[in-house]
Amino acid sequence: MPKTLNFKTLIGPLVALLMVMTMLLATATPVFAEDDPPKPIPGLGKVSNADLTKMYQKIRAWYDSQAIVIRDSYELAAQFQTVIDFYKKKGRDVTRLETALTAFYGDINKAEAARVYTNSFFSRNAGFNGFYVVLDRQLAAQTILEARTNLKGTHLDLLKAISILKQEFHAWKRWMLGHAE
Amino acid sequence: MLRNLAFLAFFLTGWLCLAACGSGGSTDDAKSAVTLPAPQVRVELLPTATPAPETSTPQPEASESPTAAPQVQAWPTLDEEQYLLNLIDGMIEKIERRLNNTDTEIKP
Repeated sequence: MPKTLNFKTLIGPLVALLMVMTMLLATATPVFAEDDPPKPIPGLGKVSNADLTKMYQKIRAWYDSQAIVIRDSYELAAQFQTVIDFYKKKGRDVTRLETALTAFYGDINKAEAARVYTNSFFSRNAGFNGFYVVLDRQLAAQTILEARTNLKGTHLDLLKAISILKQEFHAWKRWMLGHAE
Repeated sequence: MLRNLAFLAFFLTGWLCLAACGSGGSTDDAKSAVTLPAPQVRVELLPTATPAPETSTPQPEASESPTAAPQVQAWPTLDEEQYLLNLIDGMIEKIERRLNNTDTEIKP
């Protein structure tokens, strides 16, 4: 006659299974809740992985903003050409504006080339996965540092370029008003 | 048995009442709405603007200078020169503002 299974016969194996599971999970828990202490990285100081992620996101936002500035600069240059054409038709001397525009075009072309180069860092995404999670601290830090260096250089170049263009434009305007018909 | 029959009769009566309510109302309402009559269109000449009575307009004299006639514009135009200069100023300002407001500090 087959023996029927009841709770009393199962309780032993169940308790054993529970103990084994508890032991397994107890050892696995620290892996999931990994501690992320700040550790020194050359050029960045003491940073945790979460800090690296935040830095990368900030760099990315800076890059986006710079791309908008470059796009706006091209629009400005096109509009500047319209002004030159307008005053040329009126027989005014626009040599100063033409020279300023040529220099400005040179500067923004340089900035655009730098933007493309900086973009390559984000395409490679070295040290991170697609969700901004750090995979390799050293590589991640290198990506951040190199992107920052490029962005900073381009930022200063753009500031200088726009400042010179503004200066030349205002000087020409003053000169033109002095020679108004 | 009798009890079951009573229940059956009760439910049948209820069902019949509900069915009667659903199909109730005058049959006139169920008729389709009368469509609008066809438009009365007269096949005639289309109405046109009343022709103005012909008046003899005096011919302009050839001796009048053409500049005397005022140039009427449909709407006022902007001062293009000022518009262009202001546009450049505005664009430069916008770019400068964006550059100056950029957060170049990457440390969180």
